[in-house]
Amino acid sequence: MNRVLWRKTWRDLWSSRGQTLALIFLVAMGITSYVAFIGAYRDLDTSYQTTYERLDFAAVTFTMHGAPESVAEEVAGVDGVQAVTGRVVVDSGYELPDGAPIRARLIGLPTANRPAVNDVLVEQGRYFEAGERDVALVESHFADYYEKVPGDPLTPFLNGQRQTLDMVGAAASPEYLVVSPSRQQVLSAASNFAVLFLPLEQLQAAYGMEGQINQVAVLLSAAADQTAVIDAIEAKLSVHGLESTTLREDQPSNAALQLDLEGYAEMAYAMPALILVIAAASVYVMLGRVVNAQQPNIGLMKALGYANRAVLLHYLAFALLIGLVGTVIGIGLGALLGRGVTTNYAQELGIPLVRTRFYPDLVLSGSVLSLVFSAAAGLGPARSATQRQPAEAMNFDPALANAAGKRLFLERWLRLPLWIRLPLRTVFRARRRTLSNLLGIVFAFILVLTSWSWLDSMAYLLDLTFTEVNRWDVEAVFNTPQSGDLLQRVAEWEGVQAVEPAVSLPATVVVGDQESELVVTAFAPDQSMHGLQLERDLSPEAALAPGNIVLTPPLAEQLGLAIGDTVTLETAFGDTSLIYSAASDELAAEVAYVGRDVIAQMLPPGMDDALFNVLHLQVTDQRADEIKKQLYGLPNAASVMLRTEARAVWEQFMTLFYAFFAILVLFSLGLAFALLYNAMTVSVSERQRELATMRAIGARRRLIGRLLVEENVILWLLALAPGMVAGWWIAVQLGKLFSSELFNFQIVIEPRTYAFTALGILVTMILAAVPAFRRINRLNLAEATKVLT
Amino acid sequence: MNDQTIIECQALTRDYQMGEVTVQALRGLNLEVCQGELLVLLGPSGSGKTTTVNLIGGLDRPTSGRVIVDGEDIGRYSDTRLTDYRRRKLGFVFQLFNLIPSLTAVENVEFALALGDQHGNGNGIWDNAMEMLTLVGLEARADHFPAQLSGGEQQRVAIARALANRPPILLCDEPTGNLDVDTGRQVLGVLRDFNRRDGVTVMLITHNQAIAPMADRVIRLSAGEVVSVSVNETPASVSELDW
Repeated sequence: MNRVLWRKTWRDLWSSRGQTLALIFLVAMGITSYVAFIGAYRDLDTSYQTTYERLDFAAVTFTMHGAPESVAEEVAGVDGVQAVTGRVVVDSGYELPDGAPIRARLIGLPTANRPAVNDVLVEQGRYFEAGERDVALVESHFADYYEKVPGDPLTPFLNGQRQTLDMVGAAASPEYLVVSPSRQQVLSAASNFAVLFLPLEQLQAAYGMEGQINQVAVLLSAAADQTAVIDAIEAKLSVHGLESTTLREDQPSNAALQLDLEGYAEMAYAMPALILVIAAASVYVMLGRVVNAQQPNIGLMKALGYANRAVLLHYLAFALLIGLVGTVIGIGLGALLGRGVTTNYAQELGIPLVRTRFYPDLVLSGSVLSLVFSAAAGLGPARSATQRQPAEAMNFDPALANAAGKRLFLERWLRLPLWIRLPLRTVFRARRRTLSNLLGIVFAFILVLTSWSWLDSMAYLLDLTFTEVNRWDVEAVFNTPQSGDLLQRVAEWEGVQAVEPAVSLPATVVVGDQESELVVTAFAPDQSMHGLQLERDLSPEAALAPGNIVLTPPLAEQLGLAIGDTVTLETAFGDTSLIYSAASDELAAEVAYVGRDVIAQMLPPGMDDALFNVLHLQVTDQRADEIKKQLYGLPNAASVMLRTEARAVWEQFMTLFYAFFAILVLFSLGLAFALLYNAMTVSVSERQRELATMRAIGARRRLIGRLLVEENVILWLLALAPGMVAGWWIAVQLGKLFSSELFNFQIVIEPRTYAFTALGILVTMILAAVPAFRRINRLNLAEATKVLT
Repeated sequence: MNDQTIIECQALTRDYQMGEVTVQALRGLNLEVCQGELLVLLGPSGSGKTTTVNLIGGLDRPTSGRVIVDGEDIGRYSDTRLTDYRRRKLGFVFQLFNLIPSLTAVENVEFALALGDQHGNGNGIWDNAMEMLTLVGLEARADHFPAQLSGGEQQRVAIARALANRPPILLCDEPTGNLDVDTGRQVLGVLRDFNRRDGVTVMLITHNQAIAPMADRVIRLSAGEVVSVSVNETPASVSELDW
């Protein structure tokens, strides 16, 4: 390509700089989201792995009733074991400054040296000194929440006795990156669950376990056969009352992080890919129209003797320059945004070691995709133009080429006023232009609805969970079964309006060779504080009839169950066969419900079948905090949570989700504007002579504005149904990707979101037409009425 | 034709800034157009004829000098008033016809009528539009879209549209520039008919000398100035023209 053509390329780009910038913006946003969100996902994964490696996160953890410390050395001797730490872990309580008790986990760590497995990262203060006592390290989430700094007093209960310890530091632990007390209670909050690290000897002494440990954390060597090593260790520990073996993948914090990350991974790939494809397709359509409008120039170039190849190269350069500038900007912004997302998310979750990197493969794949689309967008129309005879191409009039057709079908019956007929005809007769504009509008609907639907869905699910499903104000969970007497006592407390018991147990549902771990809750079918989300014509009494079990839809799907199928429920009390009677569509996926009779018949003879380990209470607002304290004061109260707190915990866990989708909504709005701006500008520029003629023969600006607005409204009306349906459908498909073992995610789009999106797009279309309208007003009418646009 | 002046250009200049060069399209042009005359403005490219018509048509503003139409200096008009002026006083005929592609022949005329003072929908406007099309001999093609009409037919629709509101002045910029001789004659015949029958003042710009004999007066321009004015005592009939 010669210098003159390069100069022409630059000048063409500059003369239509509004459109050029909008196209560059489209490409840049596609690449930005691609590089940023996928990069952030990889960075987060790397950050977790780095934290785990640096702090020697256990591959397997064995919990026993109690064993001599020397057991750790025995385990270390097993072939395939790389490192071992023996420790004491107990669940207790912690007294907050206002006297309120909360749940606490106390973990004994050696003072003479750092633990070889499950080390901590001291973020404030220092680690223990050898032989030190009456001190503690506080897990960082708790320290941050209560603004604890070294030197502050800490008040845990040690074996029932409230003690005051000196805080020597705050530390992050690989086991509590998500502060999760158990697999069944994934989400807890730093506000009501404290993790404290104490000198091992002091904890042993406090619990009468001198020289004893109750947990062995093990790191395996890379070449170890995990199953064989675990079997060997279990054989050694079985004599010490081995209670559980927990693999890293089942460790509560890690499992929560992985589920969160997996859900994010789907989105991290799906949404940017959607944005990139829409951006690329829009660039293809819009750039194609820009080049198409240049057919007279192409004819002229050919008439002057330029070879087809030179013409094609010129327009290829035109398109590639847009693609290239957009890609470079996108890569820069994407790297910055990705780092921002990773850092903020890691900070929000309390991930101590953040690693961010640049991913050349992402840059390469994103660039190739956008450049290929840009090149195709430039080449297609340029090629069709070079295939025309120069004379034909030179006389090409986009205004006429777009307007072949007949009178509207509608007009056979309806005599419409000219001011309606004109925009209607313009829309319906210029089919290629209309289709391209409609595509842009439908894309805008897809982008905005898809991103917004997530915010709607989460708000809906939280509302459903905390108004329809969990109808209690306070939930108390007990470590041991409680009798009916306690129920009676609690019911008489001041401020308690209603109280209902339930039994909640870890269990396994087995179907053939498939099984799933879950929490099964048993309650009376006529209870009112847990609202099962059943099919409309099904009552809780029917669903929870004797011998029935209610599961969640994703769980049933995972196990391949249909209503009426038989499953086996395995609990600590034994196994029983049940009929899968109904599905309850709730946010939590790993849950099941049975009637009280199912648990009662599994209890050993002689046990009180009125036993419960969960209480649901409805209380007056004023007494809620006081009742929480009273419940914590009961023997064996493991956790007490207000519904408002539970909701706040979920919302905090969803911070990344909200941030991600809030950014996506902004992205989508920006993209939609660029898309519509381009569509409107190209449409108006294709009709420049027509509109200038109207002005020349005396049409007022207001009339031209009105015609353009009417055209936009017609286009918008045409795009409404396909846009909404396409937006809904893609949102639902993406929603399926996000559903996981943890979440039963249903996509919900509120009517007001459809309304706001539709209205927002109409306003955007009208705003996007303003620059084009102003351009028409500024036109030199004398020139514009003479030139082929 | 009578001797009453309808358009007067006084010491009209128009400069265009082309990068660092100032191009003087008009250099103190003076001319008068009488009501009801058919005037041909003749000149080669760059002589200033199109600039003159643009200034008279209110599509451009002079650098200095005055354009007086019906006794009013249109250079003092606001943009809105200029739009009204174009609608009430002028009809435009363009070289490229400039019909609205999504409207049929009759609707293109209706469009202009609806801009004028004859508001309202329905048969009133449509009848008037059909009447105009009949006058240009296109009543049978009324429902055709521009893409379905020949160049000459399009230009006749454009004339019908331009005169739909019965403006006193018709400005035609190379109306036969895109037409063959026969079709060009048809179009010129229509213009002549309106001029003679309805008394419309027609100002016709062309570089085609062959058209000059049909004019009442011929003004020749060169380099932005009037170089000659000639009066045809007996204007030629359109059928006598050839090029």
